[in-house]
Amino acid sequence: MNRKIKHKKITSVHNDKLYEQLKIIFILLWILIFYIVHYYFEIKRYFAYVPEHISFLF
Amino acid sequence: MIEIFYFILVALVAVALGQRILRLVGIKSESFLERFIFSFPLGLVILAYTAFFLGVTGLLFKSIFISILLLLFILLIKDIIKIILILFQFVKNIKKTIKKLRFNFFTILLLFLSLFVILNFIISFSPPWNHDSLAYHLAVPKIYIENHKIIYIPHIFFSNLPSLIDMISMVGLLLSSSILSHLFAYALSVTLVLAIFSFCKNFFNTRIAILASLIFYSFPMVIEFVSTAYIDIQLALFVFLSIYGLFMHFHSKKNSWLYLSAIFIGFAISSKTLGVLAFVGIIILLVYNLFLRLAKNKINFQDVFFKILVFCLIAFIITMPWLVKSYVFTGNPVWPFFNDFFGGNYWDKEHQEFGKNELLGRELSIVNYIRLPWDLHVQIVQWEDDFNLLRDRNIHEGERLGPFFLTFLPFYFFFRKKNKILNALFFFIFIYITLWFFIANVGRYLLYAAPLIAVISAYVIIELFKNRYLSKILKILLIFTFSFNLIIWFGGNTKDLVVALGFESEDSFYDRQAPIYKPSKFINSNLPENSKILLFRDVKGFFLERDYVWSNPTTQVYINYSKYKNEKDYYEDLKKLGITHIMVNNGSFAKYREFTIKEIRHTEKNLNMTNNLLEKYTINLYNKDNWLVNEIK
Repeated sequence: MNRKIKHKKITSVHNDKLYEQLKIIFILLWILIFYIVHYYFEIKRYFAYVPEHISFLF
Repeated sequence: MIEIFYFILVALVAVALGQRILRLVGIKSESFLERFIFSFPLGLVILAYTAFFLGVTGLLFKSIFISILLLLFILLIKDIIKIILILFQFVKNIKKTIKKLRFNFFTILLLFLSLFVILNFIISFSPPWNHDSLAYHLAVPKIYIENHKIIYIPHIFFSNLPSLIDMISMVGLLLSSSILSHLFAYALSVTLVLAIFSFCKNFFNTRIAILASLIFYSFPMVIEFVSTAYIDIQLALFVFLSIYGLFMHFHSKKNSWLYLSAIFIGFAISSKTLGVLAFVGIIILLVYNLFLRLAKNKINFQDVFFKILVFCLIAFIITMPWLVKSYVFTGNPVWPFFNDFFGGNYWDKEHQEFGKNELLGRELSIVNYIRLPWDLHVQIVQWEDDFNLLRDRNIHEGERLGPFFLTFLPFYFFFRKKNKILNALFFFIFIYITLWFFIANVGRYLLYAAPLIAVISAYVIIELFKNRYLSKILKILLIFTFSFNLIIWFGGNTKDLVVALGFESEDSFYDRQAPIYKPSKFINSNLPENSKILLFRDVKGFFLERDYVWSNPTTQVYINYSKYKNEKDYYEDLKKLGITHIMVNNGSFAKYREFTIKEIRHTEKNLNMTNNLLEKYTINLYNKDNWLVNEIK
């Protein structure tokens, strides 16, 4: 009986850890994907416009 | 510099005056920062209303305004001395805090914030060049100052809308120059940053406060308009202070905070018609909160009724002068809306319809509404292209809120613990974005939701920081974002920086940024004092020292092109209106970044008629760089 409970506890801790790790991976992927998408457009637009705006310096 | 002297004088009087009003309303706050963020804009707006009433009575003279300012300075001298002493103490404390500071992530954030604050201060000293500033934000107050009176300008659409913030700019122009107006705009933007800081420190913690302040102040959309005579950041300040006051009321249950919230939403409506949208969000939340308390038997029905009534009444009284002005000038208190009902002057259904569609700029469909968060995140501006290409595009055009919107906001819904304040902020964002989508789909008009997005993002990020691994990666990403925003700042504002630091002359700056400057100078030095100029294909009249009339067919019916059958009718009407000269912008609309601009403002008929008018009835006086100045025979 005790062995069973102990085994359950170990499995539950293990599952919790796995869940936490998966959660972190999910959050990280989400952040990276949305960051990359955002900056793909941002950088493209920035370099399309910037030369015209600072050309007077050169 | 004289502008700095005037700025310090006005700011001290404004803070002292604002603090007196706060005491009158019954606001008692221990924190100087909290008192400052409410008192400075409050005092400044009172001074702006003073200028407004001087204008209404025909007493808009520099000498009179300075006398009032000095009188207030003497009357408030005790308060002003106290404020100066507190400021000295504050500077001393900052020195001590800096010595104690340890180098960590939040110190880096403070460095970024300081850098933006310093850079934006420097570019406040650049001359105005943005389209709307030269067309009406500064141009209309300049006309009032020249006439020493607020007069009816039927051909400048925007002069007949509520324009409280333009009155703050008018104080700057009246006392000194547009640079003082820029300094007021800059100071109000810093006040908004401090307001975000104070709000977050009050309801959350200092780490969220620092991060939220920096996120807001480094938004590309904020970088674009800070230190200019545009009004969107000041509007965002008024809306945010109203929300702040409302939460303080919810928290403390003191009516004084509710009155303060109503005062600031009144300022927002008086600044821009779109302030009404902000009012809608706030009143819904107030009603919801009051009914919740009613259901819990914490207040009675009378209280609910009284609070809602007082809130609406205060907001209405503050907006009242603009409604009266509009009614006296146009015959319609809410011009140009419901114009058929009120029978207002110089507007018609056709123009109202055009304006409505121009603001919408995008097809109203469920698909477009659902994909809005995505569009805001990737900052796609395709739907604005047709609309914006008609304007002088800035480098920041299309840059909005950075990567925060979809990257961080959705995580809040996965948090187990929900925060009531953040729930309310989400509600505001939902209401504002929805109304914005259905009414005025122009990126800049969403700026008043930006402080709320910054606060929620900061909260979510600090929550995610609790995980060690995430914390490290997020810190790197955030430093990248703030660095990139700094690059955006330099890309867009270097031209202002160079002239503000004195490395470029104003003439050469304007040659590039506002080509209308040269022909305007020609007119000022060569045409008789009583000339009246028709601006054709341009509306930036700020530099002109002669009377002028807009001819833009989509925003005015003073020059009503639909009435003219041919150039003779056109000529006769111009003569009747006393117009002596025409200034034509022949170039800036022709081609723009490889796009041929669609001339949606003037029809083919208008353009041909004007060409014929120029040929038959005018003599050319100036013809350089695609600019014509012709005298009407």
